[in-house]
Amino acid sequence: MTQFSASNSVYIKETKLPRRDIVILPLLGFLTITVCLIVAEVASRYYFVSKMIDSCACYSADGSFRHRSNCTSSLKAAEGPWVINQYNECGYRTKEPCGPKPKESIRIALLGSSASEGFYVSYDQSFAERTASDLTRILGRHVEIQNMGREACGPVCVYRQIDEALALNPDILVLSIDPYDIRHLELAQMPYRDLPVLPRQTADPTADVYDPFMAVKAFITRSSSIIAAEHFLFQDASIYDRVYLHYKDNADYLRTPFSPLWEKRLAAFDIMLTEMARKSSAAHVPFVLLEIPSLPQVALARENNLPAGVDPKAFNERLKQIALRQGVQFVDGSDDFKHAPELSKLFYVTDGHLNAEGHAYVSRALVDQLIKVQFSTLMNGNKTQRQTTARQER
Amino acid sequence: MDTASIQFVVFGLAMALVSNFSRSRAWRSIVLMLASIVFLGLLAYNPIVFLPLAGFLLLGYVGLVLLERSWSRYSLWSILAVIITYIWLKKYTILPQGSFINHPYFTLGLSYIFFRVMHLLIEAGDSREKRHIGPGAYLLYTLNFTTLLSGPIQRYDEFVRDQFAQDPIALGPRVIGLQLERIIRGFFKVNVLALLLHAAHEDALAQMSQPLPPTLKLLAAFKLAVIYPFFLYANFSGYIDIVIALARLMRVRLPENFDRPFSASSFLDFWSRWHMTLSNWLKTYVYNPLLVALMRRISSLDMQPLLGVFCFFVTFFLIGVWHGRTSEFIFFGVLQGGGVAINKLWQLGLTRVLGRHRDKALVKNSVYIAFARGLTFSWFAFTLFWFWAEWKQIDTLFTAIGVAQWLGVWLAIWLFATVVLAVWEWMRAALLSIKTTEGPVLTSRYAHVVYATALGLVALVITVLLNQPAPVIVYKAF
Repeated sequence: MTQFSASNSVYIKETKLPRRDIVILPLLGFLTITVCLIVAEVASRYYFVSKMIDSCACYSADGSFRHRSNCTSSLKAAEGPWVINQYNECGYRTKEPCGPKPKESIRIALLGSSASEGFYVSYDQSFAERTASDLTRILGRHVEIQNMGREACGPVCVYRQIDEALALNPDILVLSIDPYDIRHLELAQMPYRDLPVLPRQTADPTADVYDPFMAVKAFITRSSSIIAAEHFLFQDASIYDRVYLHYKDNADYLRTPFSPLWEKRLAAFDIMLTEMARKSSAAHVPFVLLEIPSLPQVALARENNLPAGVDPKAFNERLKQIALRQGVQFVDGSDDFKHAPELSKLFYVTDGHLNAEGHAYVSRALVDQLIKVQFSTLMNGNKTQRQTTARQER
Repeated sequence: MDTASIQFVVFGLAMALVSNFSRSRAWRSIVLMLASIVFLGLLAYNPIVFLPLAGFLLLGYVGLVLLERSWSRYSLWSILAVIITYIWLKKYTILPQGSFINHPYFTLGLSYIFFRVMHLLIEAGDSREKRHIGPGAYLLYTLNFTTLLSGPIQRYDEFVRDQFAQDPIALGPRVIGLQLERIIRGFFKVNVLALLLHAAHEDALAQMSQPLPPTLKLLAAFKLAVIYPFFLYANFSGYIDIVIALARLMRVRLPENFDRPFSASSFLDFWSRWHMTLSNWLKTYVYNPLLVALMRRISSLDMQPLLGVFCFFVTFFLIGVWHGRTSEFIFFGVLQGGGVAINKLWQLGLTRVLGRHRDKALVKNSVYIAFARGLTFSWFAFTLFWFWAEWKQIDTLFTAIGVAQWLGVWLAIWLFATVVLAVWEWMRAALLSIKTTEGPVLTSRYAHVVYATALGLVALVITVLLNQPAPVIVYKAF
């Protein structure tokens, strides 16, 4: 009997398959998949190059790091362009020197983690520099931002920078925070937060044990083809939401009521913010808490039908309550995102950091709220602080 | 489910699996009938929308019963009634607007059902041996889910041969492997190739209305014309690949609908390779009877070749008109009919001028074939403007660049198609010439496994990543 094959117009005899084919054919299929995956990985490594380690980072004994003075480095998100990072003499990612504040200038000290630093975006496009230049244009006087933001600098790290920030004699102190920062708040470090050197984070006794499953998982999740796949997959915000909500602890800030662990983290942050607000108040420096939205918050805020128990605004509301209780001005950075284009134009979707367009939206919210609430400080400078400084100088 | 989606493929494979639980024709027919009913149910949830289709099927069946009972004087009337009902249900603009049913109803696949019903009626009217077609067999044949939406148009005797066979055709591992490979190939064509080509075509279309430098505009015009034939081929032939393979897994052989159409070296040859079941149907039921009728009336031998030209024009004009209800499709029909008629005249003229031997030698010349192939592709690409665009859009496109520039674009397309298709044919022949004792390496089961796995993986990844609904099958609309 013969079977007509349309693909090549030849007649193929319908005979029994040789026994060797039971092994050869599946093996061929497996080999083909392997070769395809290797080709995909090579192509992805070519198109999705990334450089995440900042060569200007200088690590200290407790595992924290600062950026070297007057250092220049380059970084690249897999989905973004190459970006030059330049640090001033204090190791801040700021164009202006960190020395005495120039007369007639308004100085804002910005604390925070990678989002504040403007990770993976050129400095001119970061919300810090956009805010400075917008305020300069609007107020008609020079506004500079000493950007102390540093990648992986969570709430404890930020807390330990408050004195350094106030020593810059800022007119306004801004602390930016995002859910990722609170998620990585090291509760174990809380009792030691005022010590000159923090103890190293508690070592995981299983960390040095080789786990082949974890090794394979790490290899797969770090592969460029997975990044490439995620890049295309997460262009659709609804898919991102669905995938993200499968996370437990990582996504629990999107669910109400908050989990006990998230409650503990928020309570710890509340304690630190209270102390920071007290110091700031003592220095007569207005204190502003800026919430930078995460990708899932923005994505879920656009969904018409949210799953039960999911509330993307709950985290912001809690931060707002904490801030207002301490007399700290709260700025909701997600306000302007409602009118923003699709998600993939605001974030590096595989990495979660804001891109240049996303920074513009945060900057708009910050500028609006600073003008609204801190207008007199911005117009006249921090008079009380200036008088105190002048008295001390005399 | 009305696309070449994963759901459709999974549904088809599941039905094929269930169908093979027993080799008995009763079991296989019950499964096919249930699958077709479920398939229809998945396409429209409200049973009321199926009423016009049910009426159409009933009308066809009544006509068939009349003819079976030797009331052949009703043959013409039943055929006319079916044609008019079809035109009415499809809302052809030749009928008054007020006569149409305003309530939405189901018309997907109606064209293909129409061809099957017409085939039954004509055969029943012509045949001396009356055969009985029961309502079950009639419904199985007309509503077969594998051929419902976009064909291929299968002959009833071929359907009966496989579906009602006491000993159904064999289904060994080799055949199953080939069909799975074909499903993957079809899925890849529709969901990857056609999707990407459609996006490229849309880009070119957008560029035509943008203020671009002349060179980029010419390039956009070139892409606009060249991409669409490949898109249409990938879209339609991909779907056909899937349904033919699914039907084969249910032990039914469907006729082929495509045979490498862009390898055709003339427009006549093209239509014997593109949508073959439609052109064969029209050749059988329009071209042949029309030619015979005209030859009976006009006995002049000199006129006979011209009668063939005329019949070709009518047949392919009807093919064009069948595609749609608007004046664009009438013009599309004129271009199709005109194309084959001119092609036939050229063949006649060439034989007359060169003589039979030199003509034969010329049409075997590889350079002549390459240019003829390029011209065939270019003409088809040109006619397709009336297939995918409306008059207003065509006007905008043709005035976006000057007449001389358009002529330049078409010349470039001809040369491009000549070279690219010639290289493709040469490569294909070269690859197929690599043989073992079992035949060409490229068509061996090992090669099939390799490229089916690769295509499947790529198609799956792209489908998941793009996360878009499966592309619409263009021909289901007709």
